[in-house]
Amino acid sequence: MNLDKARDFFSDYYEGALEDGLRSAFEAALANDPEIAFEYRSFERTMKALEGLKAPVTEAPSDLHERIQARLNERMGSQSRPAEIIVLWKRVALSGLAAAAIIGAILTYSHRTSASTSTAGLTPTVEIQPTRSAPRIDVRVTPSGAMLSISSDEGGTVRLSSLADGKALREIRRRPNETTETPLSNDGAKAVVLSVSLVEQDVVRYVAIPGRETDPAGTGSGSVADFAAAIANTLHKIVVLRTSDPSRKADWTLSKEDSDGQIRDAASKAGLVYEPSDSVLGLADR
Amino acid sequence: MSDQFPDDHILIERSQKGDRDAFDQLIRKHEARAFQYAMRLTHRPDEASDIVSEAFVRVFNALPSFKFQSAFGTWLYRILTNCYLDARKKEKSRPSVSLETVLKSSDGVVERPIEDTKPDPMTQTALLERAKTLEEAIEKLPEYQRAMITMYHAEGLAYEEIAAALDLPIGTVKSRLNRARIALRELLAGHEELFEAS
Repeated sequence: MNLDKARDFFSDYYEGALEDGLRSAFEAALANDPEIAFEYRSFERTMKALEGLKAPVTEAPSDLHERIQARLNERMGSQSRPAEIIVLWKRVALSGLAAAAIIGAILTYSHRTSASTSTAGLTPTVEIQPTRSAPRIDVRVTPSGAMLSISSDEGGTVRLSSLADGKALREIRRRPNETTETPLSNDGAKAVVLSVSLVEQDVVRYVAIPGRETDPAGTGSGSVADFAAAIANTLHKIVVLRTSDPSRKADWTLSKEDSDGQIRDAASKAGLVYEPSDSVLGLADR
Repeated sequence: MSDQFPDDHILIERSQKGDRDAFDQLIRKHEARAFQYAMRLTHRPDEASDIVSEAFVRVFNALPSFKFQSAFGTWLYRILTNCYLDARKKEKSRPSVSLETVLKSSDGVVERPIEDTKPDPMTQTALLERAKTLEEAIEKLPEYQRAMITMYHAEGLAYEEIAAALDLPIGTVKSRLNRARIALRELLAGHEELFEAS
């Protein structure tokens, strides 16, 4: 047994985990090779020194909990108090709509509020439109699921449809200066991409909504809308896509680790800018 | 971790259903130990706090898909390790000098308490010197090896737990840890006299 081979067994021998045959060979090498014996004695001292590491390091700082909460707040983009921002993405349970599963995404109801209605206590919001003067189309995560919120100075029609087959799911008539809120839910297994269109203003956004299942890591190629759906499937997050061409080609590799870097790279190659967030992810034309 | 909190399984299930207080309790239950681990890796309280904060953000995001295939604590180690490795990657892309490193080398201050008992000054000095040398050697290890050494020797995790935390086969954990110890032995080779009596 030479030195390199002997080194492979240092830990196992130290811990008494070597099988009989190997232990005999290792002990013979220790007895007959001064270099191996020297290194192993040194290794033993290192192992004993490492035992001292179990001593406590230090107390956690008294403000650690507040710092964690502050980071959560910051990432969630919430203005509310720390205890109020901790809201998990939760699918809205739906019943009696199984037929819609072929489409996957289901819009449950909508209601109208005035534009000045407070949204205090509601959580992470991603603003989809580029400017303040443009109509607002927001998606945020609330305790009971995802909420689509639309507001603009002008009234008109909001059309929600499945991007995959163009099938209209719902049309909502809006009055000027109203905010329309619609819970979004996907009862299907896989993510679906909705097209949200303000018909009169010619504004379209795409929203990928995760389904029941989470996909493992993987690679793929297709349209940028497919890319958004793949992100929703893998990370189980809503993805908002602002693009003039959802059919533009994209290639991606996704995993749960370092997903931000992977999405950013794939988005960049597809001419998109990635807007990471802890709740609703954004992709937008560069 | 503390017995004053409900079982992790209960807290996680409640958190997954949107219970904010349950997630807050989950943080409170694990934050001190998480900080201890991060502190062992970084030796810098601010960086350790950052890593712990980032880790809990990632926990928050991933919790809905947590399926109890490993203990929450093991999963948290994994996330903390990834946060630490990510932070180091970012740091490497921004060349800087650690003020703490400068302070340590200039006045020999070691913040870490070694023992609760009070040995005589000579022994205490030797222990401090030994701890400082060991810490410095561990800091020179590649990040991944440092994390493994810390998990096993400082945090007391079993091989099986490290394997689960790092998503590696147990044999790989053992062989990598052996290599890390051998690398550490080489780094300590110039300080044999410090460790002779240990």
